Amino acid sequence: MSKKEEVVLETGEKIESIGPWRIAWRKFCQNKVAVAGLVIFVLIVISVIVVPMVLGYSIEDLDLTNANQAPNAEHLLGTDDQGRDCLYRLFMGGRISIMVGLIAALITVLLGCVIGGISGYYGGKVDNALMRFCEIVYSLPFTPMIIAVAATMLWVPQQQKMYAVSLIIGALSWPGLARLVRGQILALREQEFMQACEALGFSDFSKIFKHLLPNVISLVIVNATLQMAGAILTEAGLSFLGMGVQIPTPSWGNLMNLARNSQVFRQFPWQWIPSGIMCLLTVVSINLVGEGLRDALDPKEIQ
Amino acid sequence: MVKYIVKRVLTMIPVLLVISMVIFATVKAMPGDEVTAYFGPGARVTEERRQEVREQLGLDKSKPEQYVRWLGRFVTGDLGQSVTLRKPVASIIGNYVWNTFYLNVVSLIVALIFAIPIGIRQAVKKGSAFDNFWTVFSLLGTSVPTFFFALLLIYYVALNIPGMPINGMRDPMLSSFGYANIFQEISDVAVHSILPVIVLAFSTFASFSRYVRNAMIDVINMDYIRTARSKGLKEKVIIYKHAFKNAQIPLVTLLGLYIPSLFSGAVILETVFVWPGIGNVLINAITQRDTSLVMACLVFSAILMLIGNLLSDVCYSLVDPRIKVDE
Repeated sequence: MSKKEEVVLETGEKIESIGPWRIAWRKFCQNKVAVAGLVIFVLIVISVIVVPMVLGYSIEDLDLTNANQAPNAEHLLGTDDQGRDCLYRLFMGGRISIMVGLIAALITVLLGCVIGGISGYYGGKVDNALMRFCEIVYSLPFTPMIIAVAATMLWVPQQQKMYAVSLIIGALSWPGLARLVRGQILALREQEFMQACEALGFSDFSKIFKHLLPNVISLVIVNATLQMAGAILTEAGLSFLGMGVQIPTPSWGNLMNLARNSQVFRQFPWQWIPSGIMCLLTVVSINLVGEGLRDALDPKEIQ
Repeated sequence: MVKYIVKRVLTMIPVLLVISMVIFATVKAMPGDEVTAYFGPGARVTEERRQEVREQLGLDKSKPEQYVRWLGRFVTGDLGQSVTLRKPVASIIGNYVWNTFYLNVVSLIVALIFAIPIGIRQAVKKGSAFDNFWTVFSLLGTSVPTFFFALLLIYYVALNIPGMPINGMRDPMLSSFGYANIFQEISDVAVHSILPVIVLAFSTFASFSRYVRNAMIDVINMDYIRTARSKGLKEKVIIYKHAFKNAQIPLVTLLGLYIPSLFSGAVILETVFVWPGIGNVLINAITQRDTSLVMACLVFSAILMLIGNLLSDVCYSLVDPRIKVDE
């Protein structure tokens, strides 16, 4: 991606040739808002990794004598009803929430690319069947369905709950991407390089995954970014209802769930406000990056 | 056009059939059973009575048989009984859906009143401070978890205003003793709607204003707008009469897609404000394993989704005569 290639002209002059990725990166860097988003997001990721390590608590730590303390020198963000450090839980929750977003986005991308790719490449009956399937998943009411499926997952142990949540979100989010990918592949399939692939005797697998899908990568990247932001919000909603990630494992959603207790809501705001702000900040930064990428990768706008 | 709609509705049927199977399987996969829900948690009931109820609800049959029985009843319009509320599901949905609809329609109207003029001005003054401010504003609207915004609003604003209701749709005292007159009822509901409408309108505003802005930017750059300018038309006429007419096309599509969600509502937000809407009913039904109520709510939302997709395609061709859906 960052490899510099030099092209020597007939005149002996050397010029730097820049690939599409480099052009995109340059355009992205010119977009100050997008860069700010990226910086904020990177800072958040670093802090959710580092802060819990520095604080050195563990998820199971309890200290009932110090329950519900207001922010103080020892506990910068106070403690919750079990005497757990809120700052630690805030950043640990961030790890979980961002992981859920990441895994859900990966599942969406995987399913969207495979199903969209196969559908667009084969066309005909396969396409018809897959697109019907797509329509079915697409027509399932998203939030209610996520809640209903999450209610069936009660048997999943508490530590693995976050993976179940990511899986549910990913498994219900792919149809949009699959349709986009299919549409693009349908057009690409008719181009000349596909005839070359045919002549060289490549397998269908390599044609789809090595030659067709890389052409839609920019679309997929932008979609994945926005998907991740959406998944973080969905997880927050689900856990807020008490149906997502379960305590003692924290997530931004279930930290905000504490606010449903009216005493916590009115008297201990440090237990729920910071998680909402972090969640908002993260989603804003990811959306900014996503939009920056969309502009940077849009071939229509190459300068 | 009629032929097209009929065709689309017919293809919906198999899709809906599969969707209902998926929903049925999901509902049946939830742990806990309906018999317990029937008696309420922790009730002491003899095993014989339980068995009786189980047979009465048809739970002694195999799962596929239960599905076929459900489908048979569904087709004839019988949605079954809610085991927790002991009322026909159809009447429960019929009651609560209008509360959801009312909340959503008011929010949508409020959102559009702001989104359309602001979106247009943003497009006209693209890149200005005005544009940037509202872009950030709408970015926040799409990025904030709605329930968090709701909680903040209650915490920082509503709790400081004496007499500001923070949940429900009516005052419990007033509604149980009866309103003195219609105006009292209207003002009671209106006061209770303020917070939920602000929150919902904020997130709706965010997506609509972006849409209007982007659609207008596309249109303003077109040749016919330049022609209109060179003809010496007033800027107001150009923007609001010539340009906005074409910018309506994507807007109408979005609206078509949006109509069904007016009925299915914002599930989580209704929970925060304890709004007696369909979303709240659904959440309670899921937590209490009220199977027929969950089934009905989910299938209802799925049907609305399908209708919304159709509606948005139809609207598209109605607004833009260049597009013919029949082909």
